[in-house]
Parts: sequence; structure tokens; C-alpha cells
Amino acid sequence: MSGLPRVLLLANSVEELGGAQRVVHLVAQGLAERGYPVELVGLAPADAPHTYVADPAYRQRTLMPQPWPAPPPDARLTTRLRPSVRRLIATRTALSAAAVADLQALLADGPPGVIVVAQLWAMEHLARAAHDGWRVVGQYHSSFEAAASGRDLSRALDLYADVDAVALLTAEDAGAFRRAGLNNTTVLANPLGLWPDEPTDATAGRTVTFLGRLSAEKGPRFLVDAWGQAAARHPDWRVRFVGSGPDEAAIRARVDRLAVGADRVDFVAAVADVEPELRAAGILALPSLTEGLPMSLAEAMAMGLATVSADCSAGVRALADEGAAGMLVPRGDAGALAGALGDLMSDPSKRARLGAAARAHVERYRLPAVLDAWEQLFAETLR
Amino acid sequence: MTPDVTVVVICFNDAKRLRRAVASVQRQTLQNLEIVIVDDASTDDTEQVARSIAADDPRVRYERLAENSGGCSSPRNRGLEVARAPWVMFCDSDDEYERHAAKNLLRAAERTGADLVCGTAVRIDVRSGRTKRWRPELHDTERVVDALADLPDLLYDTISVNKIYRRSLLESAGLRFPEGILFEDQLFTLQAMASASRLAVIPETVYHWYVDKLGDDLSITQRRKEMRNVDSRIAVNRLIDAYLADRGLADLATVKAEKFLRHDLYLYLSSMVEADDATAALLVEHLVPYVEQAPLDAAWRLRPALRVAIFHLLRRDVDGVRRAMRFLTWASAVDATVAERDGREIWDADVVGPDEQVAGRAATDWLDVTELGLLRVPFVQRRWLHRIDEMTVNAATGRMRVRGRTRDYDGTLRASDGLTLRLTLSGGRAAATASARWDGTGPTGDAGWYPWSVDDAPVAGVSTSLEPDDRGTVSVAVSRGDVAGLMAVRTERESCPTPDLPFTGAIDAAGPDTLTLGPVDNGVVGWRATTRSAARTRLAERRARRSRRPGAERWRTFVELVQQDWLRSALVRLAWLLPPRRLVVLEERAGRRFGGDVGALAQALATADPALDQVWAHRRLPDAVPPGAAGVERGTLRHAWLLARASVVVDEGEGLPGPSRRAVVVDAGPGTPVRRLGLDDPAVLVSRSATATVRRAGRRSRLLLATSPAAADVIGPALGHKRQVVAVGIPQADAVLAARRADLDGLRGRLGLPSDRPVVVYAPVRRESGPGGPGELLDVAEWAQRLGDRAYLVVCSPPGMPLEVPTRLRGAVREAPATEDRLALLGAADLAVADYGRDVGDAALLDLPLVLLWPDRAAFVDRAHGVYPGVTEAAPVVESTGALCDEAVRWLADPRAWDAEHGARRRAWASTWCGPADGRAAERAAAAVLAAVHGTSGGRS
Repeated sequence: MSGLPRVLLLANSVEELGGAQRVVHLVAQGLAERGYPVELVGLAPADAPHTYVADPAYRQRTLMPQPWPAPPPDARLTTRLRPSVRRLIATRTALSAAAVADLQALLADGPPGVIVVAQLWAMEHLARAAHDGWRVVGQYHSSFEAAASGRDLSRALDLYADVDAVALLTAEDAGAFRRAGLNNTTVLANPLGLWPDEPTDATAGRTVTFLGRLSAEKGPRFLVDAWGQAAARHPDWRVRFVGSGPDEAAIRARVDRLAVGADRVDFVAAVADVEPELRAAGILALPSLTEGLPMSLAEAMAMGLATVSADCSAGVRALADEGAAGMLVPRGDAGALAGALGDLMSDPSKRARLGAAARAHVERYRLPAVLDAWEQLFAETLR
Repeated sequence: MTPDVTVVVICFNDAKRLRRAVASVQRQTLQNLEIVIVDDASTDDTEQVARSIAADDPRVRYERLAENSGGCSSPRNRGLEVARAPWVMFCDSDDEYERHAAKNLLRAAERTGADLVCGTAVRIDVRSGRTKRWRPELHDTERVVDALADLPDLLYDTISVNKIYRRSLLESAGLRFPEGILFEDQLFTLQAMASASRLAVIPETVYHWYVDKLGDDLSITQRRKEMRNVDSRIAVNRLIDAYLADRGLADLATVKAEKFLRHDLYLYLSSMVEADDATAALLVEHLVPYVEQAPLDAAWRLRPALRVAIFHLLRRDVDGVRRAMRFLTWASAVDATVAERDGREIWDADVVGPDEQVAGRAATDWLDVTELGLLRVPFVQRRWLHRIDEMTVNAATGRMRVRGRTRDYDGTLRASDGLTLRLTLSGGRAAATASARWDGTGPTGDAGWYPWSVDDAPVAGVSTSLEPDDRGTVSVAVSRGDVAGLMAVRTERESCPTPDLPFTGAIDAAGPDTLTLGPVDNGVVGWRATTRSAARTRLAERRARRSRRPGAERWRTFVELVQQDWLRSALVRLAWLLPPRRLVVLEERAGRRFGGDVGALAQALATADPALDQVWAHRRLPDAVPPGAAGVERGTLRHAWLLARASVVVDEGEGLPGPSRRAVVVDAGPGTPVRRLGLDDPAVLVSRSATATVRRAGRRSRLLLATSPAAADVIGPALGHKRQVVAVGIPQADAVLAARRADLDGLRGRLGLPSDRPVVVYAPVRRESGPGGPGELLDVAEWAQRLGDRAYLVVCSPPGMPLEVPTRLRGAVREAPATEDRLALLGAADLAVADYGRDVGDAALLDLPLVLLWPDRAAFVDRAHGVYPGVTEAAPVVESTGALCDEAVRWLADPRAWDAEHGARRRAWASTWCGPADGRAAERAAAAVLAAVHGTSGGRS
């Protein structure tokens, strides 16, 4: 065995299809290739497990034998006394307790090293398992703003106060968490899933591409509205929604109501490999209302694409370099989005300039650089 | 492996707390460190404790001095001698390091290349557990400088425990703590910082500093009335002066001289307020020789009252020092005669001769307090000094007799007719007041003191249920027809009477049974609730023990669940079987307020239908319920019962309280116009639970009162409201509209506003995040400088965000606490400044010239909340104090022209969104409610 410490990555799920899971597998594989004994542990299984790495150099396991059931509808006594709800609560308690016991056994089996906890729910389980000797790094994958608008902030302050380090996505988020009371913050970005040797030709594409779930928080309706305002002046452009989600029908209906441009909107299902979509695109639009450090934006920038994003998180601001590497518009503002898209559609040289700046700016998120930061964090944590 | 950091923990006879201090270092996230416990020859079992810790952890070593040194220096120096790591930190045995302190300091040092890094210390009061960052302004952002002269503020960072030091720096500069004196930190940290070739500051908390302000063994460095303490501080200052002179560090010497006056001397001067005469005189003798030879130019950069105190110190006038320091420590209460001389305001004008000189400057220069503007402060904002001389309690009646006096610092009281004075006993969520009587021949006493007395002051109002250690204050309001500000009654701790008030109000048999009157804080006289009876104490202890038993938590949750849920729904179902009562349950601000739109509607209902009983839901504020109505505590079973039986439930739109199947639930609407509330606006992402709450409330209401038809069209969908929406106007504005039209000057007089200048009212909304209080949104100093003599600004503070206006600005700016009636103030204004809240609509309805101040426009409008529709059409928007002043100057120059430019659009906006300004909104609201009741509650089930 090498002198490198055991690394255990603990996440809510490692089998679901999603951005956070993709990052975890990417980091696990990268660290394993650098010689770390890496174990990737998920709490709950997925109904349809997704394979991220064909030939992983790390061990992967999931602790719970069955998917995590949804909570009871409310906490009223009359509800809680219903037999079906009592069975549900008992199942949840048993699954959770068994996961804690398994985790504890796993931690005790071999020398302690570093545990990286990807989410708060995972941390709630780790907190109940004995982990003496292990160093713990906690992560939070959304913005501080998102945490503060729900219950996550108080959970994070509570669960993460004593861990060795809390890795946040941007310096702005780390500062905000520090001011809120965490004394152990550090910054660690997520890595890019791709880095094409050749950037795309930013002046060639004639498509405004949207990558993501069709749900309210991703803001697809603002792109539809913006397109309604800009389509008439750009007859050679199209809009392409890549992804599906709960709002798909509503979004399609909204497109159909457009006076102009409805015939130039395409819908395709989510894809595992985004590179071909990005290579065919002319502009990437990210009209979200809330984000963390959105990897779809980062990857479009890595391709050398011009982008327009809603200014909705510290992560978006950091990626767009406050506007220097990607255009920023106020969130929820279709008019501003239409204006920015119009600017870019009518000015190929601006697309080229922005695309080049984007690619240069996101070099720092390439996998080797991010893995270096991980190794440095491990070294500091283990002192 | 060499450790990264050596932590030196010093102790003397502190076996109890040593373990805690060392444990805080052992459990640092930086594990590669060594711990040196240096024992200053303890005589308790410190040695055994330390040796047992060292035996269990190889990182811990124990060092013992051969004989007691009596200070911190020798032990820390011993620690430095035996340290092996390249970095050193110091800890005292009664304190703790924050868990990540060593790693944060070390990382910052390595990242920046600094020789010394400072972090934040947090002071923790061991009794209350309250925490406070120590000098937070020094460490609020990360900073790196190459020399102390680049960041001289660090001279105020005089403690040694919140820092990490490069050991080679200490060794090469030969730095050790000076032995044999107190305040050794001050010299050591200064020398270390002055020697460092790079310094860094980090904002993270590193040190937990436990402070016991009331303890018998007050730390020697806090016993400011002891001469050893004074002499040591002066000795250290002399050593520092010599060091700086030696190194030729003249710039730092200037900063340090100011720091001595501003900080060190301040501590001793303020301790004289409470010290006995002999001690105060001794303090003067020990301080004067050093102060006399110190550079005093800095005195003119200090607060004027501190400069006055230094002047009296140099004259060896203890009384003068005390009176000046009272101004600084007693909430700016003036205990002097202030008079104008040659256009300057002079403190102690009656005490000091005009030709007197001190330290080469004329007395009038020392005593010039023009900057404070005490003579220009409007009557209503005066900070009178009320002293208390006698306070007795009649045990039989439970009423108080109080004798006191008020200082008339510039003859204003003497010149005023019709002065009234009220004594208020407040606290415990309520207040009781009584009129006081001027003694002698009324307010014509001499020497500026006016005696008064109250023979029969009630203490009711505080006699609802109290918790132990609840406290309240005795205050006085002096009014001259104006509404007067309350000012606490004050006296020195020693001379304060301390009678007991018999107190029988405790509902809970384990609660407190006595109110002790006496000093509570900083000279303030008040009361504190204590438990005298042994039986009550035993009961309280037994309950505390029981609640700690395992399972107690679950039992309580179960009982709560049964009460909250099961019993409640059973009650409600029972109530539904009974015919509805002619009863209206009213609620505003979740039971915290009783006026506003709901209050105006309640009054109109009482007129329109006197047979309809009124009950206000309150949050433990039974005494605040309006007369003529009954009260019910919110959340109780009785509350649920009344809600279920009522025929009308009125709420102000913050989430309706409970099930009420047959009642007409009226939502008095979120005030004026409409703001984005989420349900209809895709750009606002509200959490699912908040959305559900709004929807549920919307579904329960049968009637929604909106301001105007346009507002009704927006507000219904925004709240998910499927029932009837009626446009009525703004009920609570009726009275203000009437008062403004009838007698604007009278309204101003009642509110204590001047009539010689235009009145500008600034009413910002409460921010959930971002800039905090109004002081951060509007620079009142800049406003006062540009417009102070031409307009009078009233700043309405949002709840929980008070604004403290500096004395010198009080002639131009007045703070209105959240308890004051905002709408009435707006009604008396000539110009309104608002931002996003309902005040925008209120001001527009009152037809006031209006400016919107949006300094946080991006954060507030674009990201978080949104604003009323079309509001940017209603009034000019400015984003800074400077721009606001420009706009106000334009308005002042020609109000008619300004109105011609902005008035028409504002009026159009107001008539679209705020409803008619005819003063009959409450009447319409009451009619709508009664129509709904008669229309729907006819059929009994």
C-alpha cells in the first residue's frame, strides 16, 4: 500500500443520474488514478442505477437495500397513528439505522483516513456513526443564498461546525458561510467533465441551447419569453431545449402561444454526453432562478461558447467572471435576456471574443487543477 | 516529526478549568502541535491534573516554575524557552481556543508569509453565556500589511492570545514578556507587531475569552479601582513610549498617544463615576503625572465629553470628571450647565472662569461641545438626567413612593409652561405609569435641578407572569405638550435605594415571587424578578431535574401533540355543532400589534354593530389589548375555541391562525398596493412550505379587503384567493388623513415635530438580509451636513433595527423607534422618503411629495422581493444619500415646480393602487364585513 490515506466519499446517492453524482464519480476516479485508495459510498440506491465510469479504479457501494421512501404527508398525530404511516416511519427509521451501522463497520475496517461528505443528509448519518481518527471534509453544492432561503443553513451550521474543513464552491459563498458562523470554510470548485482539445467555432452555430431540467427553478419560461421578443429579428436562429422535467408540457404550450419563432424551437430529451450538443450550439443560455456552480455553464465555456446567464448565484458570477467571460442578466427578467441574446446573435465577433475569454477563464476548473486542490486540502486536513 | 505549532498554556491554581483549556487545544483540527503547560507554582492539585493530561497525550509537556511569579509573563517566557515548533500561540487556563484556531492562523501565516497573524477573540460572559466579538472592527476583513505603520489600528489589538507568532521572529528580536508588571500583553504584542516584516489579520474567531464581570475574583487587570492596576498600566505605557522613541517610530507614537486617551484613560475615568470619593481622588493623583506629560493634541480628535473629562482630570476636579463621564456612560444624559459663548456651546459654563488655562489651552477650547449641538436638540429629543433620591414601597398596598430630580441643563425647563412629568415602570412585556408632581414651587428650582415626587405609583403591568431574572426599568418622560422620549432614571450603585416590591402575579407556582428595585445596569434604576421563597425554589429545581430525565422530552412532545392536535380538533368540532356567536376575533402582526388596518376596522365595526363582541388575539400582551375589547392568548385552546365559534375572524394577512369553518374570515390585505408574493410571479421562487401557507390562508379567507380595484385584481391571484375581493382603501389612513387636513400644526405638536422647518420622514422597510439598519441605508451625517439647517429628518426604524442618532446630529435628525406610529409621522411630513414597503402607498395616498431611496436596488428588487407594480412611475428613485440630498434640495428650492414635475404621476398611481383618499376606508371595510356576515351566517347547521 502506498503512503496515501484512505479516502471515503460519502454521498446521498451514487447511482442516480445527476450533476452532483457525475462530479463525485469524476473526483473518485481522478483520485484513484493518482493512487489514493478511494471508496465511494452512497446512502440510498436508485431505481435505475446509472453507470458513470465504465472501469472504475475505486470501490463503490450503496448502504441501503431499497430506495429511500418519501416522508409522511404531515406530522399531525392523527396522521402518524395511521397504520400505513406508522409502517412508513418504521421503515425509514430502520433503513437509516442500518445505514449508520454499515457505515460504522466500513469505517472501522482498516486505518482511518479522510471522509468527504457531499451533502447534509449524508452528514446526518455520519454524525451518528463512530468515526474516531477520521478527518472529515463537508461539502455544500448550492449557493449560500439557496441555503439561507430554506432550512439548509441552520442544518449546515449545526452539522459542519466541528468538521475539519467545509468546502464551498466559491470564495463568495465561503465568506458568506463564515459570516454566518462557520469557522472552517475553504474553497473547492467542481471539476469540468470535459475539456475538448479543440474549442468549437463560436461564430458558426445558429442555435441558442438550454441544458437542464424543464422545471421552474431552471427558468426555461424566461427563455421562451425572451425568444418571443428576439426571434423576429433573427430568422436564421433556433432555440433548442435539451432536457425534460415536470414543466415540459407547460413550456411546450408557452412556445405554441408565441407569435413569432414557435416553429424554430426544438425539444430533445436529456443526453448523457453533452459535447455534441454544445458543439452544435451558437450560444448557451442559463436562465435559472437558483444555481450552485452550474457545470453545464462551465462546460459550454470550456468549449469556447458565448453564454448568457441569469445572475442567480455566486457560482454563476464566479464562472462568468462578473460578466467578463460570459454575459450576466438579472434573474427572472425575460426582457434583459432577450437583449443580451440579441446582442450576441447579431454580433459574431462578440461571440468569438466572449467564447475565447470563457475558455481561458475556466481552465482553472480542469480536472487536474481541481484534483491538485483536493490533494492540498487532504494534506492540510491531515496535519 | 516537528510539531507545526507550540501552544503555551499558563495556569495558576486553576486545576478546574485547566482541563477544559488544554482539551480545547488537544481537539484542534490541527493535530500536529505540542502543548506546553506552564504552572506558576500552583498550590492546588493543578500539578496532578497537568501530569495526568501529559501522561495520556505525548504532545503535552508539563513545566513548573520554582516559585510563584504572580503574573503571566514568567510562565509565558518559560513556555517560549522550551517551545520547539516554528510557530507559537498562548492560552490562559481559564479560556479556550476555538476548534479551528490553530489551523486558520497557521494557514493564513503560510499563505501570506506573515510573521504574525491576528484573529478574532470572542468574550463570553460566564453568567449569562452571552457572547460578543472583542473589537470586531479590527478583524472584520482579511488584511495583509508589510508594517504595523500601514495598519496602525492594530495598536488597539493588545491581547497576546488571539495571535500566532513566528518563533524565529521572537528569538531574533529577543522578545519576551516584561516581568513584574500587569498588562504585559500590551508591550509584548506591540514589540512583536512592530518587529514583524509582514502582518496578517483574519476574520475567523480563534479565541474564547471567558469573562466574569460580577465575580469575587475579578481578574486583576479588570480591577480598575486598584492603584496597582493604574500604576502598572502607566508603567507599561511608559515602556511602550520608550520603545517607540528608541526605534524612531514617531507615527506609531502619535497613534499610541491617542489610543491611550481614547481607550486606557477612558476606562479609569469611567470607573470614577461609581468609585467612592477617596478612591477617585487617589486615581486622579496616580493618573495626572503621566497624562500631564503625554501629548494632548489627540484630545481634539476624541469625543467632546471625553475631552471635557480629561480637562477636569488635569484640574484634579473629581466632580467635573464624573459629570462628563456620565454623559458617555449614561446614554448621553447631560449633567452640566451648557451655555452659548461667542457662538460656541460651552460645557460647565458656570463652573470655569473664562481666563482659565489648562495644558496651554484656554478652558473654553477644552469645554467647547458645539459639535454635540446640545442647545439645538429639540425638546422632544432631549436626554434629561433624572436622578433618584428616595424610593420606598408600601408593603400593604404594593405601591411605590419615589422622589427624584431632573437637571435643566440650559434653562429650557425653567422657561417652559405646562410641563408634565410621568414616571413609568416598564419591563416584563408591559408598563405602568403615574403622574409625578413638581415639588416646591414647580420647575423653578435652582442650580438647574428640579425636584419631583410620585406618591402612589402602581406596579401593575409588570405583575403578569415573569421568569426569574426578568428585569425592567424606572423611567421618566417630561413633556411640554409634545410627545416625550422616555429616559431611564439613574443613580450610582452605592446610593441607590433597594426596596422589595411584594409581587403576587406569578401564575406559575415555581416562578419568581419578588421584584427587587435597585440598580440594574450602568446607573439605570429598575427592578429584577427573583425567587425568595424556599418552596418555590425547590419546586423549580424539582421541575428542572424532571425535565432532564431521559424520556422527558418525548413525553412533553407527546403531551403537546395531544393538546395541539387532538384536543384542539375535538374542541373545534364541538364548537362547530354550536350556533356561531356574534363575535369577531381580531389579530394583527401575529398578536403583537393592535392598531393598524385591523384596529381601524375594529373601531368602525364597533360603531356599525355595537352588539358584535370583539376579542383580540395577543402574544402574551394582555395589558396591551384596546379598551372595550377582550383579549385571548394566541395559540391557547381558548383561542382555538373562540376562532371556531366566531362569526368573523380578521387577520392582517400574515397567515391565518386556525380552523373556523363558518366564520367569515377577513384578510385585511397586505396593506397598501400589492407586492410580488410569489404565487402569480414565476420570477420569485418561494419555498414550497411558504407557498403552501399562503395558499392555505387564501383558501380559508372568504373575504379579502384590498385597497383599490386594480390592487384587488392583482392581490387575488397573488394570494391564490378564490373568494370575494372588495376594494375599500387604506383603513388606518382615515384618522391620519382627517388630522392632517384639520390641523397639521396640531398634529406636528402632538408628535413633537418642529413647525419652523419642513419635516422629512424616512420610512425604510425591514431587510431580511443585506444592509441592516437605516443607518446603513442612509448616511444621516451626510444628510445633516447638507440639509440639517433647512429640514428636519425623522427616521422610522424597522422593528429590531434601531438607529442611534449621535447627539451632535439631534438638532437635525430624530430617530423614531419601531414602536412609534409610522403612519402618523408620515401624516405630519412635508416630504416622504420610502423604499419598498407599504409606506410608499401610504405616502402617496396622503398626497405627500415622495422620493424612493433604493441603495440596495439590485439585491432587493432584482434578486429578493420585487416592488409594487409601476412604483417607479410614482416617484423619483435615488440610489444614494448624495442623490437623495440633491433631490431634496431641488424640492426645497421650489416645492411647486417639483410637484408640477412629479405630482401628477404620483397622484395617478395613488388613485390606481391606493384607493380613494376620502377618509372612509374603515367604514367601507366594516360594511363589507357585515354584509358578508349577514349573507353567509344565516343558516345554522
